[in-house]
Amino acid sequence: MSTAALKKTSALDQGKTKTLLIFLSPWIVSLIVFWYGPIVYTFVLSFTKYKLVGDASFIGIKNYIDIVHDNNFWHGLYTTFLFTSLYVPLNIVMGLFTAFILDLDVKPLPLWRALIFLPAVLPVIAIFVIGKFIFYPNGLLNSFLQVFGIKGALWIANPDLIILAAVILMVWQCGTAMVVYLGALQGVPKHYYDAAEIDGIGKVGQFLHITLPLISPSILFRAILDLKLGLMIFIPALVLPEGNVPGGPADASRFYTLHVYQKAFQRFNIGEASALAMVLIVISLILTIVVMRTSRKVVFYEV
Amino acid sequence: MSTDTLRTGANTTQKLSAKQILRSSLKPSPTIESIFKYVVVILVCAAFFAPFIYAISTSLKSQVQMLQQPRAFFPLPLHPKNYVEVFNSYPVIRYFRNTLIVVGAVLVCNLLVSSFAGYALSRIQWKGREAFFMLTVSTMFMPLFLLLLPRFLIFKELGMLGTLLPLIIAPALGSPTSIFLMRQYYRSIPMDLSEAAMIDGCSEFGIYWRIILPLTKPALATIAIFTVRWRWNDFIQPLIYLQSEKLYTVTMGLYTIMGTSAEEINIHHVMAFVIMSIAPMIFIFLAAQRHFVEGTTHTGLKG
Repeated sequence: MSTAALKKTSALDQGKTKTLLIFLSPWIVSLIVFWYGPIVYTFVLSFTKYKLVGDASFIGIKNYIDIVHDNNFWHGLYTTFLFTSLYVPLNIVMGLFTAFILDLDVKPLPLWRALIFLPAVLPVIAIFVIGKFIFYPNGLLNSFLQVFGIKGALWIANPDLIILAAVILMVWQCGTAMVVYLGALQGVPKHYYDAAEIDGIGKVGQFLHITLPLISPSILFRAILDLKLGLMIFIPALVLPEGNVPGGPADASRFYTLHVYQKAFQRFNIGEASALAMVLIVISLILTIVVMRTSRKVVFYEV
Repeated sequence: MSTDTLRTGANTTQKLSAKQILRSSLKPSPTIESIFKYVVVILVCAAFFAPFIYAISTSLKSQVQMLQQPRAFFPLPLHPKNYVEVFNSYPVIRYFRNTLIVVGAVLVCNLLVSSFAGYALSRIQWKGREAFFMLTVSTMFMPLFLLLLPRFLIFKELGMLGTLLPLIIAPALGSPTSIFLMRQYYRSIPMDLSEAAMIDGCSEFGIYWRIILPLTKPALATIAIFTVRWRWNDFIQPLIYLQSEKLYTVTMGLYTIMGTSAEEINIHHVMAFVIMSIAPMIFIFLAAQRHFVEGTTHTGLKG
């Protein structure tokens, strides 16, 4: 290669490197300052005593010892797990069900899809404000139940029912899952069903042996995101309880996140709040890995 | 052997046609099946949409109509004065102005940054690109709620807490989902286009700006809509970062109104504001449902 040509390629390379740096630098700054940095920062703060004013001092694992001796920690874990264990499977089932009925060649699809998708597009707080009214003693749900002679419940004033109310309102937003599943369903080749038909396999069998395996990667992907949404559930604790008592009634909706929020932004105990955050980060990481590992046996990837 | 196969093949065809004839004569007429199908779809969609009708009808009720039992689903006469009353008792215009500032600023910056980063991650060859992409995608699975405390401390250090900047700066520096979507889109554009331009002496930036960028308009539209949606709907970040009521966004306004008129009897004012706060999103959704659906199927995200 002549020197002139070499010079030209290196000039080109220089241009490439410059463009690369300009193109990536804003995102690199964001990754460091707003994504990975904060996790490291939380980890460091969790070993310090820091009350927002004054300096932070290193106190070892004292924060971790203190948080597990607080009943709110265990109660927060319990309510969050209860919510998540109801929300994740129900959201998958409702998402699949709505996707399935919309895949039955109903016209006009955009209209029906829009009606189911709409709640998922709106602000979560608006959904819970509208939803709260539905669950009021004289709200839509109890009026509806009355038509059938069923006596309604005091949903948001009853500690046993408020989690269920929160789950129902979150599942009302299953439109996102529905759209993902519908996309997957429409991607299943039609001749698979024709072949099954010839073999005399019924509709249920077709769903179990063809549809489910083929869309299982989508289900797994959504399940992991739903798991994250479930563990981070926060807004209903603020908005849903009767009388706007955060975490009420009787602490029934005192989710883990509310505990973190109050520690950090009402009592300004940054050290303990960071320790609490680290615990949930680790839990959500472990659960995600567990789901992915166990799903390897179930999820079907097309070769 | 080959004749055998042929014969069996012919046999199946024969059997199939016999079966088909049999089935078409035994099957219940397709109209009953499709009527049943539509009944199910309409019922499910009605259940998903009924709360919105209820919210709208409640927002048009007078105090007297609120006290009637059972509450009318379609209140007559309509009482649109609730909307005026909400306007007069809360700084509604300020809520909207603040949200629009955040949405506008983030929209412009995020489009640019994500388009840049997506380009660098797909159309420029460099060492470590795939690893960097994994770092980017991993942030999509991070528990955002738990990053807000360290981010709050960072914004405090930067002296941004009395402004709207904490709501703007992080999402303005690119979002993982937008970058992911852009990258996927760039990869669908043939590399020949870039190579041809390079031979013609076009610089890397020139290729991006004059040839590739104009081709990515559909992806940019999807990202624009998602950005507007996320910023419009965001509630937890305003709740944590905004310490003065002057900075309150629409969702914070909703939370404020909810807090001051929590009793079931005053909910018609709350509903009037909910309807106002979600109306812009509903219009955007109806006008661009295709982009909502495509963005969701490609990322699986609610955001």
